[in-house]
Amino acid sequence: MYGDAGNVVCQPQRAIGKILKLLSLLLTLGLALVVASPGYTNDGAIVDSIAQRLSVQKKLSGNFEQTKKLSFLTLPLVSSGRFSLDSTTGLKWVVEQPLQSHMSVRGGTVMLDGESVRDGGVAQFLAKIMQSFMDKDFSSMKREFSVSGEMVEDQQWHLELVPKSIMLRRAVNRIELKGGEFLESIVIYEKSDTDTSIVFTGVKGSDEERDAAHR
Amino acid sequence: MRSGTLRTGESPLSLLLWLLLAGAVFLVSLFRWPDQGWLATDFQALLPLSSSSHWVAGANRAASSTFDRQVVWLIESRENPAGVGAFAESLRSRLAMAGFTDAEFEVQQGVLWSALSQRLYPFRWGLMTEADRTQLEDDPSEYFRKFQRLLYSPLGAQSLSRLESDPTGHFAAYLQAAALQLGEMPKGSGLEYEGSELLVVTLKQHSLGFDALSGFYNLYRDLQQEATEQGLSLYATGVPLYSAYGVHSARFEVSTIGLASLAGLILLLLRFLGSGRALILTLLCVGTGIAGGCAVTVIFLQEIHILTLVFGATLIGIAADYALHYFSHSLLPGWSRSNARAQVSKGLLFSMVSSFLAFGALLVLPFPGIRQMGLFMSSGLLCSFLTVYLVFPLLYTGAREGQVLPRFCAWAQPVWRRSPLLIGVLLIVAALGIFRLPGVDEIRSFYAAPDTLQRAEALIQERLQVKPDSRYLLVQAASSSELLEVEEALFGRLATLQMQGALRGYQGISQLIPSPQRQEQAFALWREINARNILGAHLQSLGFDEGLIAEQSRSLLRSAPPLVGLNALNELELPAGLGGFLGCDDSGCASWVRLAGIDSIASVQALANQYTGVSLVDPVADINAGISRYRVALGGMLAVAVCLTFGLLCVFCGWRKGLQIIFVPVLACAWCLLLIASFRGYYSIINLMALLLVLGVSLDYAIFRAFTKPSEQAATTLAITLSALTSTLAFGMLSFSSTPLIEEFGLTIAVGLVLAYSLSWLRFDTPEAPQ
Repeated sequence: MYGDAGNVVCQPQRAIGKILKLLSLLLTLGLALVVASPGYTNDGAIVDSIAQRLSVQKKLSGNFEQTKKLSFLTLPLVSSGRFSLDSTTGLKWVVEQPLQSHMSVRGGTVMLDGESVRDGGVAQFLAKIMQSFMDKDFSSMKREFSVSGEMVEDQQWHLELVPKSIMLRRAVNRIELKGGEFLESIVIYEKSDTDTSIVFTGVKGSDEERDAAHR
Repeated sequence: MRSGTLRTGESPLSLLLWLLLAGAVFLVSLFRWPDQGWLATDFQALLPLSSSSHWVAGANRAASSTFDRQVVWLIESRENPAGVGAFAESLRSRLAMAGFTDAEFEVQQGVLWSALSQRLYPFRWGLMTEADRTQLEDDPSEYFRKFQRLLYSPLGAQSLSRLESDPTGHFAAYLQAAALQLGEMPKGSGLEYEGSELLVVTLKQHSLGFDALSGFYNLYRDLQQEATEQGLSLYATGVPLYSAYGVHSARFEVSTIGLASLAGLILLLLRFLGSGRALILTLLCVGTGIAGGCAVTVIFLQEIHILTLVFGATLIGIAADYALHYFSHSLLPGWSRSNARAQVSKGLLFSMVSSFLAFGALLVLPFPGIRQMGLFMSSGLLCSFLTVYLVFPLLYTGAREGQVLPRFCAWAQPVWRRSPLLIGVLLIVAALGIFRLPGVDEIRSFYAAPDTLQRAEALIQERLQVKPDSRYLLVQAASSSELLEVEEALFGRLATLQMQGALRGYQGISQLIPSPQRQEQAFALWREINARNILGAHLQSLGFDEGLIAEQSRSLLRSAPPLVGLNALNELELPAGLGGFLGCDDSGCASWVRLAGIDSIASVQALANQYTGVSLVDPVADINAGISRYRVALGGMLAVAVCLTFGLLCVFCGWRKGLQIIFVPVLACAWCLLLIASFRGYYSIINLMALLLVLGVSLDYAIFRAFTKPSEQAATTLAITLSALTSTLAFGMLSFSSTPLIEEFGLTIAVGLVLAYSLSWLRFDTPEAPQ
């Protein structure tokens, strides 16, 4: 919503700018080679392939570890905890270390420790991505991002999302997703030279078929 | 064509004189025409000036500019929730592709926020939200723990990205609070469930034009149809949508009603006068009246209000009577171009002088709108008269050969015995009836909106649990720092009212630029927290290196805090929705405080009464009060104009003839108002505005009758019949308009003119002997 106060103190130097331009050119060339190489698809086909490996889940739960690397901090900020995702109750995200907090996302409402907050779309974005993989419905993801990726060994896959909207592109360069039967990690590369990685472990699902069998 | 003879040298000289006068008005206009802003649209400019009205006018402009480009869209579906997001995205792109919205709007807003952030950043230690101040005073360690909990949650992404420059998070929270005072989604609103999406779009300035708005309404209807086909419900509300509907319906009415009445006018003129040239000259007569009236008004007043122009251009249709009176006489036996002017000059001159004085009298009123109308009408009618008097003798060659006066024109006027007594009785009955009927002054009753828009507005308000409110608080003080202090004291009390549920939110400039006193307090609080090493401990726990910790500490150790004043906002364009400062002048400084969701206006009014320089402003009530004053003044002026004209007629023609003339407009206006008001149950300023035209036209009828020889009465009968038919046709068609204002205006004129025409047939004095 508002401008980045950090920009106030950071003015890019001309020399650095030239180097960055050169690097961008090389990166673009490199990406073009990767995209052109066999096995790497940049259309909706990869999403369909991934969808075949996923099973529709009614609920998901597990643990996470979030690592945020900031250039001006001596150590990365690491937090860990557990999460649960349910079609009806939404996303619950409980941070246990280093400080306890409880976030919930349901529809358009985001709560942190019992208080309604404006999240700037981050929490809803996280919930939407996780929901997409749980429901095997990638339509909203494809609408908001250019999706490319590849299938790798052992039923594993790798996706790269580039935001389509100008607003999101101002904050996020790209997002990497990795997984197999479930979504296993998310890495967000931000404009401000910081990256956030979230790794999911011990993920358990309760799919429709299993529920039906129990009944 | 009839073979009219022209006395050589007379009419060409007249034409030359007309050209010279027109050229002079044109030249003076060239020199005196303002560079910009000659056409005023601000309704406030029509109201009489008061001591604080310039601040009120500024606040009204700022308040309306916030919302007059916004449209709120709500898409809902319980059956097809997945389709809601896709439709919202499609709606966004359709609006952008059609050029109504700027795809870069949000980016531009981001740039504005960034610029504001940069301007305020050096003063950050003095800028703090009330909630943060309370928390930091009570338990600063808990404040930092809470901030760190946010940083470690997924919600901390934004705070982390600016952690280096804002390691306490209070500066970002401060800016965010300024943005969210009124825009927060209420808890428990109907928008919490999946399958519902709310979009607030700001239209581009140029898409609010007449042509573009019509297209916008069509797009809205297309989108609604598409939504229905997809099993979705689409609702929209906002000022541009109502304007778009107005333009859409106005276009329809202009293209149907306007064309029908124009066709009728052409047919009547061609049928009875048999001259295409007469039609063109009638348009020239009315056209010069509009152009001349507009030019003289702008030359003298340096501006003309759009309402004056629209109503004036309609009312100046009176000038067509001059042309019709002139042309009708060309059907009399023995008519020639050389004697044409002499035949009608007396009637035309008296008609013009009486209307000129009656409308000129409006100039003495202290109402800018009525004064503009008076100047426009009197100068416009003079221009039209000069066109008939100086141009027609040369350019009008006569009616078609063989064209004669219709048979009905020869009918004799019935003589009305004991007429003064009857006129008196009829007037007393009308006056008693009118005084018993209430005058209604409600601007919202002048406009109409279709049910679909009204239902959508009600539903969106219900979902958002907020109703837009045009009322606000005006704050005035001797200096800018005093202004900020008054606002802050006021906000403390408004917060209490908010907690009590009397209102939902408020926003003012002191939430962006606090008073110097409050900035010093905030700076002192941070200095104390720094001295207790609580800030250092927080930075250390996050992993800041020693250099950065020392840098933050140093910025708090300076002896005098850097204070930011309202002048910091000079030449800075603020993001949409922010602001409130109106400026300073010799009378002091002023700001306005926006209020939202007022539930108890009495509480807000009581609070405003407790502070000197604070007043609750209700723009709609102000406008209605202004309209009420205009209505009373207009009613009075109609009476004054009648008395003035009667006095003038008595002086020049004697009281009997004066009474013979004046009874037509007086009875026509009085009984027209009584009939319309009795039918509606009330009357409004629109009826009185329409009576201005009825007065002018009926005065023309009576004067033309009175100043025409009995041998030429048939020509006058044709002139006033044509005038009544064309005017009643044109204005009568307006009464089919779906806009109440236009409908009321058209109906009043149509009824008034029918009455005036009927009364013009009656006479109570004996016909004059031919002169």
